[in-house]
Amino acid sequence: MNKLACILLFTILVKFSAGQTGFSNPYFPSEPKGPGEWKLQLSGYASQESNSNSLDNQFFNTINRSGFIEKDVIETQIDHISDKALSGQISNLGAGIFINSAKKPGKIYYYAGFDHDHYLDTYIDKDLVQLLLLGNKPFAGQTLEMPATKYYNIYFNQVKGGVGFGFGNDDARHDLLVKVGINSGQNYDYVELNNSSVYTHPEGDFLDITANVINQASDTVWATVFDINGMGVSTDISYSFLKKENFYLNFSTRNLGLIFWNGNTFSGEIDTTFRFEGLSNDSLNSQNLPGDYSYNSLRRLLFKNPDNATFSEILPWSLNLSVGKFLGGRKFYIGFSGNFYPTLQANYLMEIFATWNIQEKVYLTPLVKFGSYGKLNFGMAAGVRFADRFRIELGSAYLNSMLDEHGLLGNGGFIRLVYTH
Amino acid sequence: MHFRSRRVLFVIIVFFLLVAGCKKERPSPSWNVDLLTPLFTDTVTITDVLSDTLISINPDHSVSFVFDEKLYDLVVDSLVKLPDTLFNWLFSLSALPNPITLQPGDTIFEEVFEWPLDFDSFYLDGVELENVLIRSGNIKFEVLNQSETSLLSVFGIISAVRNESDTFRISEKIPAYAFADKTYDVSAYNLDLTGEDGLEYNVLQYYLAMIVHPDEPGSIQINPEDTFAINIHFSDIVIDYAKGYFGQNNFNFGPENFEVDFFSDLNAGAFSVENASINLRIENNYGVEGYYRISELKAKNSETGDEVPLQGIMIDSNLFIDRAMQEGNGLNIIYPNIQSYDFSNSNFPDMISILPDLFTYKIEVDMNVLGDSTNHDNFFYYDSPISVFMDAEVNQGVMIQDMFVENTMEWNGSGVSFDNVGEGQIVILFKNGFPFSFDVNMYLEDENHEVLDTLVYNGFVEGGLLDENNRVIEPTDSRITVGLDDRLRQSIVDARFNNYELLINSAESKHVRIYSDDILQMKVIGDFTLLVEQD
Repeated sequence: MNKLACILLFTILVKFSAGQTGFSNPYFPSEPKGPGEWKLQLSGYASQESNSNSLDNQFFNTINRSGFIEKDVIETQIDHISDKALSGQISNLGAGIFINSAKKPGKIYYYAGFDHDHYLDTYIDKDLVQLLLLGNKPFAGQTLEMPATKYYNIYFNQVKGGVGFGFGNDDARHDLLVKVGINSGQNYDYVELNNSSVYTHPEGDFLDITANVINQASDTVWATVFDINGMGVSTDISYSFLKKENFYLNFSTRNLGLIFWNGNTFSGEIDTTFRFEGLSNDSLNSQNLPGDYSYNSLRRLLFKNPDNATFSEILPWSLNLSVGKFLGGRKFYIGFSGNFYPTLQANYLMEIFATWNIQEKVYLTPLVKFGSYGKLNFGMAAGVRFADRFRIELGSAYLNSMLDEHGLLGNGGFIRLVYTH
Repeated sequence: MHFRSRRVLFVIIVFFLLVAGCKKERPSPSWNVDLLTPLFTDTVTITDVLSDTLISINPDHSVSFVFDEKLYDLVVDSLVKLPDTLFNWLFSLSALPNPITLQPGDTIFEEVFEWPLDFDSFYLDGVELENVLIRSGNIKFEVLNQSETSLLSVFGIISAVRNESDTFRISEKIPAYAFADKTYDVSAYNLDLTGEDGLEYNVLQYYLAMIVHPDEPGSIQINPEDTFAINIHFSDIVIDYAKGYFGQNNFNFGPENFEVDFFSDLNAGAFSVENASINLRIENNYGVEGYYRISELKAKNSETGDEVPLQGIMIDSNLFIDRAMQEGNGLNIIYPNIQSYDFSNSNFPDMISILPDLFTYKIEVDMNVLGDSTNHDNFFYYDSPISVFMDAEVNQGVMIQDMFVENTMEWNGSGVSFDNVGEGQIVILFKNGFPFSFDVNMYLEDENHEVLDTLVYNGFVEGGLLDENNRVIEPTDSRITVGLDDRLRQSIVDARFNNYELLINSAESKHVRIYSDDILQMKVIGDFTLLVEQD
């Protein structure tokens, strides 16, 4: 049952980043009710969004299932790559509570919650993809060039507290919300290759390797969600303006902060050209062979003098803008929502949408999404009110691509549950 | 709790359980990649193939086969010996008119005298020794007492001193009408052979006394018919150091055989050289000059019966070897005289072409051919003999046929994991810069040298490309492919030794030139699929 639920959830989920700001729902910004009309709001959400300009859904799904990737899938995949594979995944999971002051209703409200965030952002040269997925033998006698590759992968958890201030009146209401988060770093791995190459002798006699590589990692061992490999602080700031049945604007920043990674960190940098002719017999005798050929073992082999000092990295912060116009009173709402990620290679995602509000019980939102991955995606979001105080929202911006196994990766969705009292 | 509140709580809990249950760990996909990569490499130098006892490396990196064998040590025992007999003495009392009565402890006779060593009877002419240090040996003391009383016989060599103060002196009880035969160790005694005045040679000073034994119960009677006979002689004397004049004597050594293991170490079916430089080196540590004549030097292969005598102008020639010098007297500080004689214009290449295991020689030595040129300053030390060496160096090209070399290298594959290695093979690449071809067998062995698997059998590695001087100008590549089956995978992990057998032949069957920078690079190249598992 649990598995079935998972499949249901994650096959229709779509990213809905603005949903994390509490009141704001960019597809239909109607909550909460006016000042003094609510005491608390509980919300939980989960979203995941995977995108690529080159990888296809079949390949991604196999990876995501931790399955075995067949050779034909790999070859098809590589055929899709023209120059570089830009791929990413953003996952957010969290819960929070807004509490309205009982004594001064509608003026100041408070927030407490937690988030778990994961950002994967990769920009990989085609030759490196080929090397990683096919091996070097198919390219014997050739040079595989890797002029610029970046791999960024971060997992972190946040405990947040915040204060919101609402002002204005029922017709034109402003909200300013500031959150401060204590960040607990779970995993961080960054690899950058510049002007690197691998030449394989036609018969494998040697490899000529030019490697300009930077690698930073929070730990050489993969951490679970309960492990702490670093600490930091961050802030989220959100401003919104709602003109009743007319106009809505929300501008926010998220994850403006950093983490000091202080676990068993690994920092390595090499800029070298060498010919690899095999481990020498001396090395063999001195047991320099890796115990296995895992990523970590090879990393230790490649970076001769890694640094284990602590380091700090800013979070993948984002700027978010959501604007929209109500039509026909509250019957329709059309708008635009965009996210900008200054630190990521895939640095923007935007969508336009139109919402049909059906008697304040159900709304449906067809939407179109576009971003750094250079492709249009189409999807649908929906919200349902039930039991007077509950609202559930879910949707996906990738209904078109999720149905096309061989289409470019566009995958994900969101679900959000809100209780307002 | 209010029913509605409980319902809210229930919905929230279900929601988070659902979401949390769906939260994935990091994906761990897997896939196969095709690898073609060098795995291990080893460099084999000439000293890995040929024992460094067989070759030497010259400043220009050329490699010479070096044959440096000591033919003979002319030890001191062959050059000068001490005569066995010191003296024989018969003492008679027949001159007494009447018997005489003596008390216990009375001396019958007592004598201090000098007596020369009898070198003439020893067929050594003109020997005039001043000083001898005995390395080991004995003095035999024989006394015949033809009287009716027990005697105490006292014998000493006043000029034989050990540890600078311990003069040789012994005393023995000789019962009435008895023969006593005693042996005494005289090791480490230093013999001063210059007599009392220090001007003589070959002379020892003695002390001899016959005393009525103190244990006799009362007075005794000595009769005119009583006699006493005394024989003193050396036995098994080895001289540690001698100084003086050793005379102009001639010695013949040989025919003697000496075994050579050079060619058995070479372990070749055939070995020939274009040319060789050969020197006879004589290292004289004795303070004696002389002529040395090699009357015969013959190479023999005892297995085939082949014999080749050395021919050349040096054979039967007088080779003058000057004397060594020493510092002090008996301090064993020697400045040897070393002389070499060039035998290069000889038939030595023919001699070694039979792969000899035996050399036979005859040498004659004429000592002190310049007379007593050193004013009685000839010397020798037992531990520093005259040594005769043959020093041959082959550096003008060598042809080897079927030379067998076996060696074992340590192997540690315990760090190797084949868990993720799929189908494929390994290729052993021999990049041969040696002027030899190799027939190769390679085995993987466990810690008890039991063969786990055969890595290569009857593999052939081509020799390097030669230039007009038969020197390698470019290495050649030979590849031997080995299927990566289950047994080999396990053997590579379990093996502790790599045993290889090489049958070496000169490239193109030519007389090749070897250089120390010639190398053979051996690589193990992996050509297989690897299952990549993202952990």
